[in-house]
Amino acid sequence: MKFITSPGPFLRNRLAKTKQAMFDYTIGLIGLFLFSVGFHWLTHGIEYGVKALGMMVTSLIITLFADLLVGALKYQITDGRLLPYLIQFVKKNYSYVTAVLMTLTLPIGTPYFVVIMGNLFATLIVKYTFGGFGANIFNPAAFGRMFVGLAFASQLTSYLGSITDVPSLSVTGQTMTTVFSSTYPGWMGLDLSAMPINNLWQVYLGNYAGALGETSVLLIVILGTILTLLKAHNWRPTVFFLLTIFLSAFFIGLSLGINPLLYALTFVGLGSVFFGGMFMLTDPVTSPTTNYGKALIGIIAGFVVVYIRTQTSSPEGVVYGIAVANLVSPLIDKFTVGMTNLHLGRKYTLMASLMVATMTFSGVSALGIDIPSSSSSPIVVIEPYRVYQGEATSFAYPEAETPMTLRVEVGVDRQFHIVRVNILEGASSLGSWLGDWNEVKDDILAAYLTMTVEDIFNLTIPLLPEPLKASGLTVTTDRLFEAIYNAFSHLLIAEGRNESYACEDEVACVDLQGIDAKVYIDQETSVIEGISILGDIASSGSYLTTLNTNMDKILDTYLGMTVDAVLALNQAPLIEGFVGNQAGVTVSLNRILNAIINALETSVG
Amino acid sequence: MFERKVYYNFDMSLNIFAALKPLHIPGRKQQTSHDAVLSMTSSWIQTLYFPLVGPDGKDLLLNVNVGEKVYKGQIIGIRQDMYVPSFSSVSGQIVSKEMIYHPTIGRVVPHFVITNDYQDTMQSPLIPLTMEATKEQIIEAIKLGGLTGLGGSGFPTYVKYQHAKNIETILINAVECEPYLSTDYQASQLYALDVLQGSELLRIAGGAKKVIIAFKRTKVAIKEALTPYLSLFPHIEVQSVPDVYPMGWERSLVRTVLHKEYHQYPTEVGVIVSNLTSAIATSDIVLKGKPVLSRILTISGEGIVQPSNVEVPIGTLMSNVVGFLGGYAQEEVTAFIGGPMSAKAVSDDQFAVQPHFGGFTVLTPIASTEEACLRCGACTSNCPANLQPIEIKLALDSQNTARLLKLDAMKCVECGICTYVCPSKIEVTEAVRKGKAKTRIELLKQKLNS
Repeated sequence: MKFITSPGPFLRNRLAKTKQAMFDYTIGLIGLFLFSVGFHWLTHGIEYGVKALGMMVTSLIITLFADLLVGALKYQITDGRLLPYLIQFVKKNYSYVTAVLMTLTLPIGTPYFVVIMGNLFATLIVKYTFGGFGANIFNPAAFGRMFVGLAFASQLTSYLGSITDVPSLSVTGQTMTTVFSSTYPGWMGLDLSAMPINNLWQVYLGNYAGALGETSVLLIVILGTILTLLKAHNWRPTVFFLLTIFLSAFFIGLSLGINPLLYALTFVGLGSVFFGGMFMLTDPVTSPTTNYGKALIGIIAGFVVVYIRTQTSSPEGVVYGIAVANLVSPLIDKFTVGMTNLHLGRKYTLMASLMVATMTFSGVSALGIDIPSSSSSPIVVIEPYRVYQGEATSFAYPEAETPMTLRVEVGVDRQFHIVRVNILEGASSLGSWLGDWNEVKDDILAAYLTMTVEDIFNLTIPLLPEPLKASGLTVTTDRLFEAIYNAFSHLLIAEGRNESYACEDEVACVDLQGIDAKVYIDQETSVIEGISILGDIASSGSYLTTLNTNMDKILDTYLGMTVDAVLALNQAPLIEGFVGNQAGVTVSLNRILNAIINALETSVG
Repeated sequence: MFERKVYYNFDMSLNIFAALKPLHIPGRKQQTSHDAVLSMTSSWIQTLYFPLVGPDGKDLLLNVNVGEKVYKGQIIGIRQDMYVPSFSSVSGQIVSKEMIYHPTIGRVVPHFVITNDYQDTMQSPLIPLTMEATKEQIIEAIKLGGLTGLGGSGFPTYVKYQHAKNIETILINAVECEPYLSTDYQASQLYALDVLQGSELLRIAGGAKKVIIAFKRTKVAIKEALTPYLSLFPHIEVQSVPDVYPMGWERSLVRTVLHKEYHQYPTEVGVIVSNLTSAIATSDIVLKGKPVLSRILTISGEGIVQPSNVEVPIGTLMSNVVGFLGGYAQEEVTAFIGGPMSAKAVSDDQFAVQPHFGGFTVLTPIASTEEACLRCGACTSNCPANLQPIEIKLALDSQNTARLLKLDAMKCVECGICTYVCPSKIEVTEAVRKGKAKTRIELLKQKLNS
């Protein structure tokens, strides 16, 4: 008979297992991932689904590699045989959770090398330099994501290849969050109508592009609740995190004078608030051990998220919130001593005051901010660039003895869009028609303001569309159109195109880029009256900005020149004041000139 | 640090920092709770052993010597620090002194070896009283009867009652929250009237207004056994409590039944907690003049061939009790006195049964490998004493004495929950025990320095 003595208790809860908790947690994450694969596959095509799977597999393989590397480095002869040691090492560090989590924070367009860099950073630097599972002070996935976000920001796209392949994505290819936060600086706004997804319900369902795991709030909540019931993680950080952000957003909404509930729902629904709160902030290793501490970091992280979103230029703040929470966790642990049910009043007071402070801060910071509205833009009066006058004469009615002459003044901007139509005299016939005309006059004139000169040329009286024509007033509306047409009748529109490399270095500029030019020429004098330019005028950012801001100056040099004089140019004149000897800019100037010459040659010569 | 005002929250469920639901641990009592209580057959109680040292480790003042004849109920020795006599449970002859293991003290100590003559000649120094006895008479009787806390503490009962003032309620603890144990459950059904009489006597002894017998909600049989006699005792109530662990801990019981919190002893809030078996023993001592000579033990666990409740004379070797039940079912076992949550493993089964033993549980040794702590906080949120077990362990590991002292390790009752719930299978309870020892030393040092 042998009595084995070991320290008590001699019963253990068989259901409580770290391995099981980690496994449950990963299953939850895989659920999110499968949703993401399905979403990308169905909406954008099979290559998107394959890419998502590829990213996951890459992450897992790279993380396993990192594990084995560290395991091999730590191995000593006394540890027994190498292979069993390595297997045990990999098993005990649960790095696969980091890999899955890391993948879910990245958008679909992330290149494979960025996925690899992110995972190596997360596992090797953030996790193992502190001693592996249980010892890391920062959440590896959150810091991996932060690293990738700072180092490869421009590569984290929500599309593969070219954006034009996927029309359902937003025009710029940015994520929904970026679009929202750039439309409304500091997240101060509510209108989703200009967004890629303009329905809050769709946002909560996750029917839009973003990081793989963050989009479907509904699924995250369901999976998170199940995980909480399975005791795979603690609910306190998540609940207090969401509560803080939600209430702060509610107060911002009140300050802005918009629907606070809807605003708060949008504020927490967009971006990775739910994902980060549910799956990263709850990481026990980087949280305090007490439930009080766990609740506190939720509030602190919530504050950081609200602060970064509303006060900085960064579109999203969740990873930073998690980082700060990780950072203060040891401090909270240090100060949470003694029995956990002591000083409850003090604890609740601290939490409540932190929350109230966050709410007050958000509410006050939003006071006096005007929301840029995307739906009803204020009426902007554009000063016309050029003003033409035209007239037309017709009989107001067949029996009339004298014809009426309608004189009109039409203003156009630089692109020869009509920006002003003034009737100088002879508006309408007599009698009852005058009243009718006055009623519809403004609508008809407004309809002209959406048109370009070219549009006018493409119309004929019988084909006048509805907004330009009112029944019972056909003679008057026809006469108005004719007068406007006549105002431009001396103009000839010459169109041309230049296709060339945007820079001299053909390796850097792989694709031919086209510039379309429209030149408006006075047919009698052959003088150029206006030019509008469309297309890729330069290859890269800084040149593009320079050129765009100076475009008026560039085009002004050609205005007033005769066609022959322009055709005689063999090099674009340098513009005083802004062009140095920047090759990129001179190339672009010549490409613009070539487009103009092309237009003149095809139409005139 | 310990002088500061300690208050406890009124109801744990209001505290969002505690676990939302108290911990239920599967009882595993069905092995023994439904069968009849067995009695030891004569061959197994031929030789009995009585320790010559008290639980404090000091020698007893002996009344008899080797070679003398003893009667059943005769005093063998008396503790030095407090008046606690120990009695011979059989009549026979003291044949020798032998060194055997004493699990409470944890080492080998001298025992008298008494051979049973099976005559059961009773010669007790106690005088029976009636139910009309006064407070002082009852306290004197249980003092002379050597009654100690039969729930497992072994603390002399009369001391609790002697100095108690302004007592309003006597709580009779029939909760038995430790898994495997079912002695109170069985005893309450066998000796229902004794339970109530004993409780009433304890009420008089404490000068209390009423008695509440608390039992687990799932153990309805206790209530059913007591109900027929309840009308005879107007001051006694029966109340059920939830089936959670550690419900039987004084503090949880007072908190749950009376909604009261105290600092160190329940007498502070006018409550005395006594075990159900103690109540039965009180009735025996006061009304029959019979000290505790035998008790019901739950011998249970998967390491026992025939788990059962057995009425065992005090002084019987535990190996004999196990032998009576068919022996061990396994070659390697982990065995301990009491339930699995708070007991300490024994290294041998050659020891004498003491009055305060509630059971002997024999389990398959647990094999588990520790993993890294993932700081989930399960130990902290489930701790019934509201401590931070893992922080105590970390402070101990990093030898941060200042922090260890701030973590109040002394408040730990070693209920074992922290190890039970730990997903990483870390021996948290053991670490807290060490933390307690270290704290005790540090506090002593501080005392000596000042």
